[in-house]
Amino acid sequence: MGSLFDIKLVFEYFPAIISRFHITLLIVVFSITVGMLLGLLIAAIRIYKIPVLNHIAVVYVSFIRGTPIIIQLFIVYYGLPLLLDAMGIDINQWEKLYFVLAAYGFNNAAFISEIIRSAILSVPQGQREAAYSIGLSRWQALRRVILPQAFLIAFPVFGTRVVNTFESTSLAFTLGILDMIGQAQAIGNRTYHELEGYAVIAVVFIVVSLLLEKMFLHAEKRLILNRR
Amino acid sequence: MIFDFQYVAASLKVAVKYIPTTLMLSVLPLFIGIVFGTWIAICRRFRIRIIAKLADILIPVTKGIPLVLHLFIMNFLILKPLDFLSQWYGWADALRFMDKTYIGIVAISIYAVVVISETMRSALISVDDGQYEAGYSVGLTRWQTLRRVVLPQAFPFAVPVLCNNFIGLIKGSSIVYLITVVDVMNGALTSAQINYRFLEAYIAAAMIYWMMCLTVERVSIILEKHLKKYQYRVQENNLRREVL
Repeated sequence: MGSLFDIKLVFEYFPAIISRFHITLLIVVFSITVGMLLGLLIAAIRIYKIPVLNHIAVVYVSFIRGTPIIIQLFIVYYGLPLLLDAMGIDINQWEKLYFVLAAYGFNNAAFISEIIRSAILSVPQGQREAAYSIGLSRWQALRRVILPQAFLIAFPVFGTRVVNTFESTSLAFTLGILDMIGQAQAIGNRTYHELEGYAVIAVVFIVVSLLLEKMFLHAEKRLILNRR
Repeated sequence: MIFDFQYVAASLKVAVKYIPTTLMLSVLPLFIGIVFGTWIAICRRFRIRIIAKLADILIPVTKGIPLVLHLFIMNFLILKPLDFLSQWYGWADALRFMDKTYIGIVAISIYAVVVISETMRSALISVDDGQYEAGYSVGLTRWQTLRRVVLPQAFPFAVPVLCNNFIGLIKGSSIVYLITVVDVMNGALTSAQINYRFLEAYIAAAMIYWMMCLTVERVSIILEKHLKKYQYRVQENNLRREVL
């Protein structure tokens, strides 16, 4: 047992831990992309109230919002193979990373669908009626009138969602992924110096999340300036 | 292995007993967060000399650290010095029987203070500047203005967001299983450790969290409606006064 905190070790561990940053990034980028695609689908189902699917979507979104991401991770990890096995697809040999990506994708789908839905519903009904009255079709009204307005409303919330996703990726290591925290724990187990590894991760998370926030604020300002 | 509802029920039965632990891990931080968070927000609103500057730097920085890291760092910071002490004095048993729930509460509380201080800050900003000035103009001190004029208006604005924060804390408290605290999640897993029905155990835990979050959401909607009713009445009265 040496000292509690050694600043020299922080610099020593920094390269080893930052080298796993790409996994965190991969999870964020993949899950946001999948979340947007699935989220659009779910939002469309809920806005147009497609009979049975609407109820399933409501329960799905409520479930994802009401349970911790850590439980969703494990449910996907244990449940997806069973589910696909019943359909005749064997995915037991998959790497764990795929399950993590799937879980974060499903998670973001629910949250992003809510963002999209509330943004579209927050556009006043009169806008839609005005679009119809000048002879635009349903699709044209959506694309030219509703969506540009909804996008402005959704963008800041979407920014917070990205930052939140980035922070929640810190839980991916519970499945045994060797991301930054997994690496820090591996180092900690080897050397009994966990705290230095955690300090490195904390710095990385702080810097990246502050950067992301600044970026989204800047983009938001630009968007609003371009509108007016 | 085939999914079996019987095991979900068995896990549920065990996990339900640990709901108080989960509640303790989320309600206590909520209260600590509301008390300290409001104070920090007030200090930042009035630009109290050192505290406001310090909070401006510390709060965005602390908000960037994920909850898991808070927990691990706290776990390390609290346990290691105690470890040294116990080696020095030879308390072998004190550590082994120490309840790690408190470490969880400390870590989640720090997170809650940061998150709720942001909530309260936006709630304070939502109150119009004219309200402060009106308070001062009738001779109220800064503290009286805050207590009698501003906070009663800020809280209705903050309540829905606070309920959201509370849901976040309930969900966030599930990670204390990583430092071997037995909460709902870990309780559900204890039964799975015997029969290897992990999927069923996780689903049972998910059910309980889901129910808790839905309950908070319901309460939030009721509270919001109640507060809105009150605000509406205030507006109505103002209107009537203006007409008269």
